[in-house]
Amino acid sequence: MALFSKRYPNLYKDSVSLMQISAALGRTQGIGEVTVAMATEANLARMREAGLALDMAPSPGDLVIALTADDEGVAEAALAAADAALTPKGDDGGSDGMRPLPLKSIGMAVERHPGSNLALISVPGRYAAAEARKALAAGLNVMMFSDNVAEPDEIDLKRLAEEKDRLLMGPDCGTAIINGMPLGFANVVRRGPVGVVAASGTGLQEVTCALHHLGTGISQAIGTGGRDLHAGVDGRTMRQAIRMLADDPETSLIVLISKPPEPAVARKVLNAARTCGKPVVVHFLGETVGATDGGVVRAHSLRHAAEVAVALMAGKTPPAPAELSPSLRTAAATAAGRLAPGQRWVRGVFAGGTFCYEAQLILLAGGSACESNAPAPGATPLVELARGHGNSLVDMGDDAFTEGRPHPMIDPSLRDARLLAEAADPETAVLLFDVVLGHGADADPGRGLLGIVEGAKAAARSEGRELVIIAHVCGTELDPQPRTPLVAALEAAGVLVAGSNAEAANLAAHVVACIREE
Amino acid sequence: MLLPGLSLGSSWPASVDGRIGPVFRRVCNVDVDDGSLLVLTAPDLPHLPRALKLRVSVPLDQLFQPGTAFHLSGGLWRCGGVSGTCLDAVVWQPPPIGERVSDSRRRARVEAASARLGTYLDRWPEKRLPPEVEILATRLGSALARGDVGELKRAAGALVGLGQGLTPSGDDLLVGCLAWLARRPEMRGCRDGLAEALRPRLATTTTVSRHYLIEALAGRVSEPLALVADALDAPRPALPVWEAVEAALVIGASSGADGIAGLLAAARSDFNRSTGSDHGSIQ
Repeated sequence: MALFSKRYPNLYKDSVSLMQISAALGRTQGIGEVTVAMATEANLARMREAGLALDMAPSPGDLVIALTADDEGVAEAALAAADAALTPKGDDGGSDGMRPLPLKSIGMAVERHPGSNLALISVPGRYAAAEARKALAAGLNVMMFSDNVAEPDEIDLKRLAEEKDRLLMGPDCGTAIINGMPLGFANVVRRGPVGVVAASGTGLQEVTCALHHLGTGISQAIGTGGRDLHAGVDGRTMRQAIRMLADDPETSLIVLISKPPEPAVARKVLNAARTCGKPVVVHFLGETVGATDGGVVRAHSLRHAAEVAVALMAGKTPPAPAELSPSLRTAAATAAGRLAPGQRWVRGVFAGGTFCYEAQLILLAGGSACESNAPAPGATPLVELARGHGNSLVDMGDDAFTEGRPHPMIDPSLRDARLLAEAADPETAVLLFDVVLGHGADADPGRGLLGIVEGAKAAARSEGRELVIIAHVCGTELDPQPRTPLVAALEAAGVLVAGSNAEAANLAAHVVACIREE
Repeated sequence: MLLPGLSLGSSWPASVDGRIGPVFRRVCNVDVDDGSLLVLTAPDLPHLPRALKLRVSVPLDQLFQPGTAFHLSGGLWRCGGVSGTCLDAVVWQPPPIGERVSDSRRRARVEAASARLGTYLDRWPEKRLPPEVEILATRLGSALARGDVGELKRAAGALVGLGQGLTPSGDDLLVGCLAWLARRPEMRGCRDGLAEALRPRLATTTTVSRHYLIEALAGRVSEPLALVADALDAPRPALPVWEAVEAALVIGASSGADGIAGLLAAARSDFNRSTGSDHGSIQ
């Protein structure tokens, strides 16, 4: 084969483009060795070693193509193809080899997109308040994904937002659906007449998914940030969101979700709900549920909140919380009967903080003490962060686990390792976990998880034990990771997949009760 | 037309003369008469040590023509019919280098960054280090871990200019490595060794790459790399490691990934130095 080459003085192209051109030329019939590279001394030396010694003296700023070919015609055609590929074709998004970082300046963004009406702020906490102020000053609504924002800043920002009649979601607001647009971690759900306001990220996801599964849809889903119902913040975002949804013609009913609020704040929020003119379903996790009060109906769990909402919209009496189905009770009892002596604890490993919290409440209500790194009232702090003792429910999204790592909803590797560790404990009876689907979440949650489930079961079996594995998959068929195939795969792997987080926790509590009875 | 400057790097000079070099939509290189390089950039690009961000909304290749004389003096610059000011520009400073996070937390961050880089390269395999660079990178990491300055110099010398693109992968990797060594005064011997190996070979690589290597030898790197180093090492970093790595990965075609690989190779040598274990693969 003969050597052919071409030099392009002072032509700069990025390495991936050059690699693609090299690969394309290399696949051409009749072409042998190919190199397309900047003519640095190191590259020229490598070309010489590959039999592509050039009879020219390019400078390091030149781009060279060198190839061997059977005949001149093939070589000329290949060089012409490379020439076409190297010729700029206008705005190709990367001819300068650099791409923009995500916009950092609110002012620049507004200048470039003057129709914008919402800023999503996701910068380190100590800078987030300043960015939120800029956004509010520019007349934008704000979603603050950032956490670690000081409470006085939050209070000040929410006052400012009220003054400007803008909505400030957050800080630490991980999810919202505004005008059908998922923001942060959010599931793809049907649009519909229910407005959801939540001070809990996965709580909001659970309720919006449940509403979708029950056949209705979402007008707006507004996150307030986890501290909104604290005394100092005074429920400002939740009360403002209630007013906005009351004025929203697309919203027929409002659902409010939060961990237990300060009593004085709860009164203000409930008063806003009573007077908003639309039916409101409220679920404050862990709070003793009272009677219906002035159009405000209280729900017992996240799932129950969705069921009550659907019933009210259909003009029906709100249902009582669903009990475990006979088939699930039987499955749980059967599984409990296979446990070895000494297996008696539930080990919960959660990506969703609210799921961990709700599961604790359900275990406690069933008479089982439990520990957690994010203990609900009545639970005790983890004795040891690295492993469970007794019934332990771990929030893997807690800062203690996410130092330098993405949240387990994005990268579940730590969650998976924890599942295996808990499965190896001979006292573990039930492995309980959640999988959160949707935008922002792990693109292929089944990929590693199914292997983990199999590995956990096999390890237990090798020691003469069985495990009861219970999961809840929060998501919809419309999510980037459709729910049904994952549920089917988990069930095929022997996992009891519950329809809601509450049902999963109830199932775990039932297994523990069966063990106690034995 | 007087273009305002938004911000500039800390080594932006007071006065120079040069000519416009390669110009792209968001980057305009200025070949300075002393052989160095200045960079004019669009506002949405990251900071560079020797760059001026312009407040412009038109592509830079519509403003500047290669070969046009460029003159900078007294905070004002002039290039053909275009002129601008850097008097109001904010000087960008990288995160300060100071206290270090504990070994265990740094190890967790390095592993997290490696995992993210690995996932990214699984998705974009064409952005992996070329095999010949990967081999040398492994040698470089091992030499750093052992403090073997001779081997370090041999590996670094062979990496200069090695790789296909505008900034060859070998150079990007070396820049990342230098970004970490700038934080480690106790590795001064290695840094000096690298400098000895690189300086005589700088003329053998591309102009743009030479510029970044010179800056890195002086301890100055681009904003994304500085933020990754800070995220790995600082007790209270400006960005979490996840966000810092994400931001750096989008730089260039593979330059971001190559630079992170170099940074991680050097960062990992912290641990391997104390345990004496072999360096292993870096990607």
